Amino acid sequence: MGIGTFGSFTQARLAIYASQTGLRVTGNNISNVNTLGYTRQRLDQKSLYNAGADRYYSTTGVKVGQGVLCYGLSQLRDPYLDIQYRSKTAEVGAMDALLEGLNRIAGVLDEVGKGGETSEGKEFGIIHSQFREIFKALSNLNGNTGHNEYDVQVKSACQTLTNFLQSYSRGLEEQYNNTVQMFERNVDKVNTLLTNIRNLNENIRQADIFGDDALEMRDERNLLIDELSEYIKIDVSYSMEKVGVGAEVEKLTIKLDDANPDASVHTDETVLIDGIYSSQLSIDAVLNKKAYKYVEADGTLTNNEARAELVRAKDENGNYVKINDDGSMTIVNNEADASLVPKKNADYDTTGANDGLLYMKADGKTATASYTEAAHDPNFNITVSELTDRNGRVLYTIGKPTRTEITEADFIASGGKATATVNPADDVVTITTYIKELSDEIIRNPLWNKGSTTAYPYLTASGTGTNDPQQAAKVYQYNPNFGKSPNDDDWDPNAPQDGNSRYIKVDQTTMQPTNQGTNDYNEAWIPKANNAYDANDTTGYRYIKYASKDKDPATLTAADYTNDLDEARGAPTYYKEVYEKVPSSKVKLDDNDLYGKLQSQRELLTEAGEFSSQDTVNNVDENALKKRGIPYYQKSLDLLAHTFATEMNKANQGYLTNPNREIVTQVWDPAGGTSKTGGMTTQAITLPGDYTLKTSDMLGPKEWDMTKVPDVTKQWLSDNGYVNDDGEPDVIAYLNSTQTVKNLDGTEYKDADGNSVEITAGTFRGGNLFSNNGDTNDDDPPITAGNISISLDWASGPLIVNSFICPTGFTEPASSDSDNIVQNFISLGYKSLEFHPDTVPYDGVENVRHEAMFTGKLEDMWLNMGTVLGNDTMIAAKSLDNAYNSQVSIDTSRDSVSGVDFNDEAMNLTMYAKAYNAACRLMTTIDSVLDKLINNTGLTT
Amino acid sequence: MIPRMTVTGSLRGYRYNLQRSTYTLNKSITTVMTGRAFNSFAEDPATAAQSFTLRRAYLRTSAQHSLNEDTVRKYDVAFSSVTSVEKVIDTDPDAEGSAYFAILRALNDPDASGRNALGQSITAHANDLVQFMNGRYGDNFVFAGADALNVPLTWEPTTNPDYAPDSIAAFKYLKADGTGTNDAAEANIVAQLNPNYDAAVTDPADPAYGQYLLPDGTGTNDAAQAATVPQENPQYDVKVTAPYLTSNGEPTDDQFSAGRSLFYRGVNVASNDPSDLEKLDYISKGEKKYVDIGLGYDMNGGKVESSSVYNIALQAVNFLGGYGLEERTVTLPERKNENGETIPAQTFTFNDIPKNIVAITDEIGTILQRCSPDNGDFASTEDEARFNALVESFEESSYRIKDRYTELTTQSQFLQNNQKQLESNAYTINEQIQSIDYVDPAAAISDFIFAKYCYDTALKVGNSILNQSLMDYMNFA
Repeated sequence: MGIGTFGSFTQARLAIYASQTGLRVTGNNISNVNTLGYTRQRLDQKSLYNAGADRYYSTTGVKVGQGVLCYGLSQLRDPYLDIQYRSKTAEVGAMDALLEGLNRIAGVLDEVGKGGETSEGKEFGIIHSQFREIFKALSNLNGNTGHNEYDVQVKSACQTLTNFLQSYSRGLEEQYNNTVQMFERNVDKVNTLLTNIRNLNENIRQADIFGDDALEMRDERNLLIDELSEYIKIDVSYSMEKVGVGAEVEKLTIKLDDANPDASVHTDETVLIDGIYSSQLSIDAVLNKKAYKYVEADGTLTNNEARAELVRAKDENGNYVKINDDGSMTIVNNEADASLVPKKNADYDTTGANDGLLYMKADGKTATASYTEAAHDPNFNITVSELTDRNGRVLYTIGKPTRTEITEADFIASGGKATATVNPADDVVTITTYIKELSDEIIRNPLWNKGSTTAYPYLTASGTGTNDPQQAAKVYQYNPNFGKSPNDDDWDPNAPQDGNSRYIKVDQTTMQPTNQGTNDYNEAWIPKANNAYDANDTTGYRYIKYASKDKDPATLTAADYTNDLDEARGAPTYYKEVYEKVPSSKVKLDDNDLYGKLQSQRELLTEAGEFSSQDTVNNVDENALKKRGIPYYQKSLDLLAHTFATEMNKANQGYLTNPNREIVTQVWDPAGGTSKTGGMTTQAITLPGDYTLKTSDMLGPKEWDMTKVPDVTKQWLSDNGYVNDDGEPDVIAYLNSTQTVKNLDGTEYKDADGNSVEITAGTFRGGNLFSNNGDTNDDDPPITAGNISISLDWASGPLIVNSFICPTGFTEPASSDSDNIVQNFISLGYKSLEFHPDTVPYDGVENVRHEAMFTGKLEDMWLNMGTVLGNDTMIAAKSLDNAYNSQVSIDTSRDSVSGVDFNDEAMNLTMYAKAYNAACRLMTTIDSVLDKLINNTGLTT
Repeated sequence: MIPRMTVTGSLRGYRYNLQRSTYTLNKSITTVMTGRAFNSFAEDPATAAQSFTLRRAYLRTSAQHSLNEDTVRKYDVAFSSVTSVEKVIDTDPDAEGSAYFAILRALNDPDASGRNALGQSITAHANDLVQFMNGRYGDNFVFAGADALNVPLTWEPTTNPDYAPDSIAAFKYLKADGTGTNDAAEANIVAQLNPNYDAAVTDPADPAYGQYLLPDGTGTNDAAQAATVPQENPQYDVKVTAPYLTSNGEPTDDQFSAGRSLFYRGVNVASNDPSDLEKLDYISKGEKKYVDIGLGYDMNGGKVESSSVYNIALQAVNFLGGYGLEERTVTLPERKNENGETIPAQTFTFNDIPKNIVAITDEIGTILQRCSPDNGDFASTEDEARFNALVESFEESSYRIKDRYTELTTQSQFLQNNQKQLESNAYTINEQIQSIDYVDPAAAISDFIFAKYCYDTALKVGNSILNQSLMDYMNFA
């Protein structure tokens, strides 16, 4: 069909409209050139053309399009660039957070360029130079041994070091706490982003349903997704979702992007947003173990018995038992015969004051019912909540049904009603429906004659036969006694005894009159009987009963025929269909499921590098030994402080020896002394088995290397009760024991009054220089950077043991002998020490590796911390630089697709303006032409 | 395909690059201001670690230098003291004022009249020697080995080597049970024996008559009639009863009347007692006081390697010729006495001649002071012989001291050389630190200027980052 006479006006009008819309789109693009996240829009046009040929279309006719149609607006966006950008943004977020954290640690630990002016110069570091100050003071003490002021100098230098160590420890603790707060805020931020994206999804969905492209909301959503990708590496996908009546709308799904290198782990693909459903992240809290009754299969504590892992029952003696109905137990021989019972939590305790409070506070002692008051899980594990919509309704996913055939009896028993059960263990709803499926096989009566006059018991109003009394003509039954009284002569005793009823009531089942009256004529009729009806004429039946289908047709009687379709149909089949409606559930993320800012901050809070427990390496993160966060530096500092204090304490304790470094005891030498009046002297201690006690066999002030002790000596120690707390023979126990003074010849010395004199076997000297508390001399709990203090005894006065060596014939070391200072204190400045990660125990961290993490001098350990930190920081900085560079490059590429460019828009302006002008010209031309046609055609002057 | 450059894309690129220019400029400004090549471990971890290691070496060297300097000063004091000692004991016969000069005078003085005075002078020299060796550096006694808080050399009253107050010889009387007592009242009472008893005398008037004495002092053989007295201890020996000896070797209870002996750190230096010798052996040879003065401190078998540290224990006995006693034999030549009688040559052997020069000098002084104030003669021939033996010992002791003096000189020289070495080391380490930690100012300033140039250029580019577009040339009029 060609265009009508005035159709060309429409063509021009559409062109004007299209150009005008194009100008508006261009204007919108120009207006939003500075709008963050704005995606350039484009007007979608197409040529208007009525498709199909006219039936009587002339082959000589020409079909022309009818103008232009604007059918939508598109955003110019490249999804692949979005994926690249978001992936790189996650990397930028990860490296940025890591670098920021490391820089904060460096703010505490990095001493490059620090350290004020000293006599030796400047920038020697703080802790680093303080170690040297200590060794310098020790050197001075060595040169001036015996003068208390030099002991005080060492003490002052050590006091300063302990202050620095404590200060640095507090600094790291502060950074840890700050990072915890930032981590919490960022988890909240992610949750806000997820909620906002979910809400936008809902709005866009609504708009989609109503046919609105909602481009601006999509831009806003893209911005939020970009922002989310900085915190978590995500996988964004779009799919179409049916919304009924054949309509489909776009659905956005955001999942974690498979960050976990362990291919067997799938929690790293957890769905965060599924259309209008979204999840929330939460940091796991420390649970109050006493408040949970059961344990789930994955070790999670629970009070839901249904969720508990089922285990075989045992009695209190560990025998497998079967639990009888009356609650009694019977011991069984086979594990398989034992009853299955929910696994109980061994820590469950109702007697404590914490009963019922599910969480523990940060003090580790107080329970609380509030999650917000609870302490964070030390590993800061993240749990992704179930997916819920705006109203908190959980997303359920209905799976495909499984169909099984059932018996008719089962079907009848079910009543054909669907059932739904909820499994309390996982809240999965199981829906069961029962189906009766009729057979398609129907046996028709080949002799059926619709017009038969004898085959039907009733007659319709039109006189045809019928089997259905309802379709038959109605014969109303009048009551002969109506209007009469029983006294009347014509009172019919067989009719209803009711003069007020016009009709006789008919039993609607038997269709026979009763002896009751009624005024409702609907109750008072019987079908009109076919008087020609022959009960043996079966041509009135449409079907042969299915039960009689195999009978010889010649033997069929009326009883074998039916007009009931169901009786003619084959046997129905009964089915049961089971659906599972699975609710979205919480997902406990694995240690490496995340990547991005959140994970970097989490690792800053949790990673302890070489201090990680073997359990962590085995079960949580196989790369844990290589990852270093704040705990690594805290523990390194603790280890340094602990090793320093322990070595200094060890150096300052021991027993007096002779010049051969054999531990001595005091004996009476009547010929000794300076005046030949006799006196005490010393003698090396030799125990049975000719074992001479040497300081080289000492492992520490309180420990002896028993592997060097002969068996005979061990036996003697044991026999004489010189044993340690474990009942094992112990040389130290002997050295600390009380003995009577002997003469040189081994006989017992008696004083002038004839009494024995008692002394300790060895003469112990010194004590702890450092303690875990300035008010005591205790070094247990272990000394750490946070608690290292000058011991009470040292604070009270000089304590450094200058020498343990008594010169030959003397019972005390020489007044300025500094053997111990040179051998055991100054040597610490040169000695290579092994730093074992398991040296300092921490609550809840078991099975830490013993293998030395570093071997070197005390100051080297300090430098090592700085070097490790420097290397990690340098790598993070370079990675961030690269990632940021790439991100900027990709973002620019995105802009090259989605950004507004003035030249382009100027071209569009020109193009649409010209098109507009041309359309107007077209309108004018058509007007002019039609004017000629209408007003001037055929007129003659 | 050429990428489509958009307004926002251009601005982003500019912002990014301007940010980098600003960062580079700030970094170069920091470098110029601090002069440091790096300001954190992260900028150059390996070099930062190296820098700290060098700084530690520098601080260690500095401490060693300080200790070495202190040691040098101590050795200066020691050297001065030993030089004084050396002057006193100088065996040059012409060294006036020395102890040896006085000794030679006492030995060779023809009339010997000055021996008493010389004795006093020599005793004073002995005191001087003790005083020199008891000198202090700071609060420490220089020659006290590892016992620098206590005065090393002391004069103690000469003890009686035979003193045995618990032995039977220490009691005048015997009790009835045979044990000794000095209380007459506790003693066993016996008849008084006649000290003049001669069994051959029969005349009662003769003082030799009778085993016993009657109360009137006449003799009797009847013990029952005899006067009674506490039973005397025949083993009684007054030598074992006195704790001290006078300078003449007489036992005495009074320590102020006693002679004197030189003690080093509580041990008699002129003793042959094995216990004393064992102590002095350890002190003089075994005792060490090590200091770390940059000799490569090292541990071996859990003990510090002696060659890697320096022993600063100076033992006075080692600088005073030693300790203990020695045997010397002296022969006095034949000569005439004052009566013109020929006295044959006599040989004396002494096994208790001290080796320590102070003990020797002091004893020489004592012997000379015992000489006759009238004619200067020695109190006895034995004194004369002992004097000669002591002079021999003095000379030998003096030689030993000279060896030690030389040794001390060498040690002082070593310490001074070490001082220079440590200074040199510190200088070298400091040079290395400078080269590692700090930038070359010229390079830093060049870098800064270039960074500033880049930054300024970036700013200029910023003015035209948004070029004119087609918009600016559109005209629909």
